[in-house]
Amino acid sequence: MNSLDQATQENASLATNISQMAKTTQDLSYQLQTVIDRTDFDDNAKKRVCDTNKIFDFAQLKADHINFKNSNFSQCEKGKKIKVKTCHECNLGKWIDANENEDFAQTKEWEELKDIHSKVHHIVQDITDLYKDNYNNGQIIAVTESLEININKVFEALDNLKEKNCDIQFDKKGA
Amino acid sequence: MASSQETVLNDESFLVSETDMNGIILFANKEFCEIAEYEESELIGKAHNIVRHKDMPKAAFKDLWDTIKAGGMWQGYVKNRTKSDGFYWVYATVYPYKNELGEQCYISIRRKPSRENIEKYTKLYQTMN
Repeated sequence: MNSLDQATQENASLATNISQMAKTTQDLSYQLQTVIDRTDFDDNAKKRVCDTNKIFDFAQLKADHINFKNSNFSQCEKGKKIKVKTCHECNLGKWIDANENEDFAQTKEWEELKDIHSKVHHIVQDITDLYKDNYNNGQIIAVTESLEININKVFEALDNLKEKNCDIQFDKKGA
Repeated sequence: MASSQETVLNDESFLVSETDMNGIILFANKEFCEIAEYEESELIGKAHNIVRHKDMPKAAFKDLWDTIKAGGMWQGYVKNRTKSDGFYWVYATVYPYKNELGEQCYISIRRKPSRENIEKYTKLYQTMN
């Protein structure tokens, strides 16, 4: 076997492994859901784990927003204009736009998430522009503190939404 | 009655000012001066309400001051007045900030709001006055 063939073989086997891993994760998630459904938790604990796929979604969306902040900050340079993605262009924004018709989107928790998420994007743009125009560190730090507080609020809003989604799922099952 | 002239911000507009804890202007960037039609020297030391427009409801500013005095960040739509009695709409964010002397100050950053929101808040503020 020549080396190119060898590489192709390895790639193919890697791809199989990855798809197997994805399958295993999916199975695990399904099993976890089955276990949860069959276990007598107290209602509050159950609410937090009612929809395991959403838990993965929400964890990913949170991580994305930390990356979003970091990747913008790492590009900051004096005199350089950075066009920060709008709150519809980032992963969370796309996820929000794609889920507008879901039951959990017809709630006040959803509106709160959208409001605070839009604020976070404004703050990141403010920080990159302050940096560009050479504002002093104290000012930039003050605005960055507001950003940290508001990113946490996005996380809280996602947690609230997750619980709200579970309430809705339970009501449906009960009906 | 002459209708007053609207100044529309650019998509990239970045109006910055800083006030002390009583709302006295400590700093105004060039773009803010240009849009408000004042020289920098005419703004520094003045109360920030030099740009306040009579159409703004008192409740909006009460909400702003209540929020930032409590240490929070405030965002909202504001109609401001220019020196020649025109007006311009902004989407404002006010951040609490302590300067190097440890004194409480506030930074305000204003950007161009969408036309849709200008119309929405024009109507809303009319009902609040």
